[in-house]
Parts: sequence; structure tokens; C-alpha cells
Amino acid sequence: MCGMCGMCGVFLSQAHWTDALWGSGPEAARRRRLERQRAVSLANRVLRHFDLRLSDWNASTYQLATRTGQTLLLPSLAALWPEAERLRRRPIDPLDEALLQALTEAS
Amino acid sequence: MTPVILLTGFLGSGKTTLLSRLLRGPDMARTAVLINEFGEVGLDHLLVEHVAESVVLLKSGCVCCTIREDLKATLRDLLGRRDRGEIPAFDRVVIETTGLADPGPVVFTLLGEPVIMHHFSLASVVTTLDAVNGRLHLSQDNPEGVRQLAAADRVVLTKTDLVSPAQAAEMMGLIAAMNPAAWVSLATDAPGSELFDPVDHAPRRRHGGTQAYRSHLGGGDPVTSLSLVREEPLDWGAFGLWLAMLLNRHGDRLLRVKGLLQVEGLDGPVLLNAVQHVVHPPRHLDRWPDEDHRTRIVFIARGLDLERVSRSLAVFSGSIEPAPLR
Repeated sequence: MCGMCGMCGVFLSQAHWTDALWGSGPEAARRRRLERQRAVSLANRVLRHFDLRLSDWNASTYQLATRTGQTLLLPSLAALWPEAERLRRRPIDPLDEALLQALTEAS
Repeated sequence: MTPVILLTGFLGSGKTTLLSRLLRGPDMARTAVLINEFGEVGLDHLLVEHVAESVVLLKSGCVCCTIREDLKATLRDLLGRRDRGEIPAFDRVVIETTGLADPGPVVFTLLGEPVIMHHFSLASVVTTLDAVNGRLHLSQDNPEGVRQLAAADRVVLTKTDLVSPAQAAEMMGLIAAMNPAAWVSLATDAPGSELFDPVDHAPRRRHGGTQAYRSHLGGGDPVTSLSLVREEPLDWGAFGLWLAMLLNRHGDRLLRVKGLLQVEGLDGPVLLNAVQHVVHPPRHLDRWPDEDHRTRIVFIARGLDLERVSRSLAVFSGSIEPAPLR
């Protein structure tokens, strides 16, 4: 497992750096599957504020879709945020006060 | 995996002098050294290779995502010759960069080049800082100097014999403010080969807070550091999501993220390390280095409001609660 550039998601690996934590073996594979499901669920809590939805295809590929049906296939979550911004044509900023307020109210 | 130590520091900050002294120690005999320029380092019994600096920018990559082709070729060659028995076996590699080198591409090459990442691991970044000219090296005119200090796991303050004790202490305070994650030593204290030991410990600062350093030379955005301490365990999924978003949007202004994390469902801590926006693979350690089991993270940034970063992490950690694991 290797590192990655968090800004452009370039090179290094198809895997996201968060995935590196679980090591190898059957228990790690189980944990990785669970974390993959959680990651999709967590990402959707943010993405819904941008009218985007992420889904998991057979634990191998991610599908990112707009409400109008425009979709992108992502090999890993490394590309999620750049592609989400490209689809929405606007920045998705975790420091944005409006987003933080929306997340707080939704919890 | 052969550990690699990246020795960096601004022009004239004493890298070569430090390396020359360290390499005379008997426990450094099985060390391969890669340097940019042959100089005073050359010691007969050591394996010293020259690296001519060249970089290749990857298509669509950001500035720090460059593969140092020179380094890639040299490390691969070193590996091949060791395996064929053409050169003495070595247990560690020290890479001395030029004074103007941005550590980002070197880190990227070590972590991302497919062959190198399976044979070498980046053990630590050691940065020399000159007590006489250190402030100048960290000025707005020298962004590499700031990047080198931010990337450091260990800082060695050199030339302290040329300044007063008060000036040396002031520089120590400056280093601690700019990079609270780093261990700092004085070159005059003659640190030995332990300087090149892997660094697995937590940021040194035990209390939270933000500090700002604004260069005396020129304007520009200040460099700030935030030491964040958190009592509650972090949800790895929520934290990973948040940091990925932060690096995507503000990665060009984050110089360093380093921390020891208490993660829900894991007994030992998780070591997190990102140099600029290249994230090392996080490592789950067997045990905490001390009795303090709280999450401690250091952020170093230029032109980014780290108080907002702290608030954002609190919201993401609190608001985005996933379903429990089954």
C-alpha cells in the first residue's frame, strides 16, 4: 500500500490512503469491506448538499451521479472530491461556513 | 524495507558538515549516501552516489507530484547492484538534497514510485537550520526554506557557536512555533546516528493552540501552525473523508500534517504524516509512545486560517456519525 497526493489524487495507487490502515488477511478484508460501505455513507452526507450521490458497484468501482443522471465511474475515492467539484462546477470546501452549518443542522 | 533518511536544509545551513561528522561513526558504516554534489563528504569506506537533479512533472499532476527521475534511477541502480553483490550491503540510505530542493517531490518519489516503494521506506526527514541566517532562509523570498522546515521530523540547529545563547534560544522558539511536530537538537550537542532513527512518536507539544510566524522580510501570507489535541477517539472514516476534502481544496496551502491519532476500534495509535499534500500510508502502531493517549495533530500552513480548520474538523467529527460497525 502506498501514499497518495491528496490534492490531485495522482499516481501512487488506485487505493485511497485511508485504506492503508487495515493491512492484509481475512479480517482485514472484512474490515475493509465494512469501511468501504461506511465511506460511501459518510460521503453522501456531504454530497447531498451538492445534489450528488455516490454508490458502490460490486465493491470494485464507485459511481458518482448528479440528480439529472450525469454519472462518473471512479476507480477509487482518491478521485472523489476533484470529480465532484468538476461535476458541480463549484468548489466543495470543508471550511465553508454554510456547509458546516448544514452538516450541523442535519445531524 | 531499507529505511531512507532525507537530509535537507537551506544552502549553507550545514548539511554536509553534519553528514560528514555523522558518517565517521562506526554504526554508520552500512549506510549508502546519495548526494547532489560531491564535496567534503566523501569517505573511502562509504558508498556515496551522486544524484544529478532532474525532475519530471507528471501529466495533470500538481507541483509537488513530480517524480525525481534522477533519484528513481539512482535508487533502482543501487538496489540492483546490491542484489548482484557488486556493492557492499547497506542497511540505510541517506539522501542529501541540494539547499534549494523542495522536499515534496523527493517524498513523492519514495512513496509513489512502484519499485522504490516496495524496497525503501521514508524513515524521517532531517532538516538543518542555520542559527545565523535561519530567519533569512525562512523568509518569503525562500519558500523552499519554509517547506524544508515544515517537512522536518527532526531539526538540527547549526552554527549556534556563532550566535549568542539568547539568539539560539530565539531560533529554537521559532522552530517550535513553525513546526511543533519536530524534534529539535543543536548541532553542537553532537547528535549521533540516532538522528537517523525512524521517527514514530507523537508531536511534542502537549497542548493545543495556534501560532503564527510572519517573515520580517517582505509581505505575503504568514506561516501558521496549529497543535490540535482531542480527547475523544476519532472515527477513521469521518476523519479520512474530512482530510481528503481539505487536501483537495487547500492542499497547496498545507505544508504539513502530522499526528498520532486515537481511532475508534483500534488499541494502538495511528501515525499520520502528510508532507505538503502527499499523504504517507497511515500506520497502526502496536502501542502508544507514552501515557498520553489523546489524539495530537499538528497542521502547518501558509495563508490558511487554521482555526477554521479546527472548527471544521470538530463539525465533521461530530456531525457525521456513521452507523456502528457490525
